Amino acid sequence: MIFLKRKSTIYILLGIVAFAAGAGMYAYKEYNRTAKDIATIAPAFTVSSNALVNDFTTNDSLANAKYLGKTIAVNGLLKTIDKDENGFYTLVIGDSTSSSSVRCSMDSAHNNETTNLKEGTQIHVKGICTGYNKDELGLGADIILNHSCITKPQ
Amino acid sequence: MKKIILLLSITAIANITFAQGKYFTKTGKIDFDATAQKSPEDIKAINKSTTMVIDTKTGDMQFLVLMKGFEFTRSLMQEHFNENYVESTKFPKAEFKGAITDNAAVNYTKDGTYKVKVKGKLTMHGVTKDTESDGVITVKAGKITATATVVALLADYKISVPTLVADKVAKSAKINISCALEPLKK
Repeated sequence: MIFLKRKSTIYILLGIVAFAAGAGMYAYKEYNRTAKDIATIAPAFTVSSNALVNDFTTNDSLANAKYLGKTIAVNGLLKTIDKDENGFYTLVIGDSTSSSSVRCSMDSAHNNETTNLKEGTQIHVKGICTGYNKDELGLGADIILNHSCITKPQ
Repeated sequence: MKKIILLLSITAIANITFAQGKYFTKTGKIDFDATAQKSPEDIKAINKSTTMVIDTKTGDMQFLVLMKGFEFTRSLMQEHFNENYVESTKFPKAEFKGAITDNAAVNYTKDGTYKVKVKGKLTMHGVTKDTESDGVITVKAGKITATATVVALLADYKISVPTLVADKVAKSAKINISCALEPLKK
């Protein structure tokens, strides 16, 4: 009987140790977690740039609720390629006749994907939607995607 | 007649020199550092999609930044920042509206570095506060770079720091703004 008791105590202790180790490992991993490579994330939505712009211009609070923080795949005409002084790329997608566009800030790990792009061609980009800037400053409205990469047509 | 021609040419030249108008960027950088002095880890993030406009004639300036666009090294920190601190779903953007108060001292047509004072209203986390800071305008080959550092007290913007992490997150954030601006063609 005593033997049995001791045995179960050991099992319980072992269980606690295993749990603590598991929790510790989880906490450690969680703490050190970095952003996932955008290329491996499946998009929550696949839309054309015009439809996305339209969604935000018709009702931005509804569109924010739908897209904000989500990974979305966008296709459309490449308006311009912005390269800034630090070598960060932003792909501007949208109708050339409209001042509204989808601005895709490239993930630095995917910067090289911009080299063969040509303005005025159809492109497919995936990124995380960080929000919408209304046309308050006379610069046109923008939807911003962060951590973007080039994808294949969906 | 000669006088009229002279007058006309002077106005023409003046027009060229003063047709400076607005400068803007959509890829401005804002980074902030809210690391407490003794914190073992850095509480830092950068946003690379800041929109800024400066009217060189009046000195009026404005910038807009989307809170979800701040990138942290650690994803967990980024999630906490968005969910618990700035509540970016409820308050998606921060905004500054103000002016360079000593704009007349800046010659936007001449290369140089000009120290300026910036005054205005900063809105973040749904709270608008008056701010004042020192900035630098650099003019080089027709391009303008605007930089400024603002120290914002988190409590001013109703951003509360839980006591559990009070030794890591500072009470104020040092916000650095750096924007390379281009002339706005209309």
